[in-house]
Amino acid sequence: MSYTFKYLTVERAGFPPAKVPHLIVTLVGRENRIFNTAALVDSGADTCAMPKSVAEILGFDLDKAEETKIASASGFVEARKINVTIIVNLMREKRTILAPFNVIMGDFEPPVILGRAGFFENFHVCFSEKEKKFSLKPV
Amino acid sequence: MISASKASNLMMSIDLSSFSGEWVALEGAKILAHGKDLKGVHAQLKGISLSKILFTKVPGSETMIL
Repeated sequence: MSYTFKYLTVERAGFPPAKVPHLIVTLVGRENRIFNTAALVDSGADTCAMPKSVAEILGFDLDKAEETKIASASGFVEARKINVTIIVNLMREKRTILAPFNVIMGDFEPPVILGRAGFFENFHVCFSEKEKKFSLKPV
Repeated sequence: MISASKASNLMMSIDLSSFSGEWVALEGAKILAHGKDLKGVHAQLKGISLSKILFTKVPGSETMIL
C-alpha cells in the first residue's frame, strides 16, 4: 500500500510560501528517549542527518561517537556517526528502521533529514513536485 | 503518536508563519514552546512527557540547499 503526504506549507511575510516534503517520525535514542519530529524527506542526501541538539536530547554521548566529515553546500562539516531507530507510523502499518545518522556538529540546526541510506531503501519514494506531494510505499 | 498522515494534517492546520526559522513544540494543535534553539525549547518542557509532543523546525526565509 502507498501512502501520500502533502508538502508542509508555511506562509512567510515578504517571501514566497515555504513548501517542503516532510514526514512525521519518532526517533528513539538511548534508554528509549524519544523525539517526535517533522523530518525533511531529502532525496539529495546520501544519508540521514540531524543537528547535534537532537542527538543530545536522544541521549547520545557524541564524544564517544565516530568522527567523520560530510559535504554540504557550504563546504565540509564536522559530524559524528550514530545509529538511531526511526518509527514511521503509517495509517495501517508501523515501520521500525535502525538507520545510520550523521550528527551535524556546530551551531547550525537544520531539521532532521531522512536521506537515501537508511531511509529511502525501505520504501519506494515518489515525489510530485508539481502537486507538492510525495508518496511512500514500504518495500 | 498518531499516524504520520494525521499528525501532518493537524500540524498543517496550525498557522506557523510567525515562527519562521524557529523550533516549535506542539501537542496536538497547541503550541507549548518555541524558540530559535532547540535545546531552549526542550528546556521549557521540563517535566512533560515527550511521547505526545511534536518538534518541528519551521522553514525560515532562506532557501535551503544542504
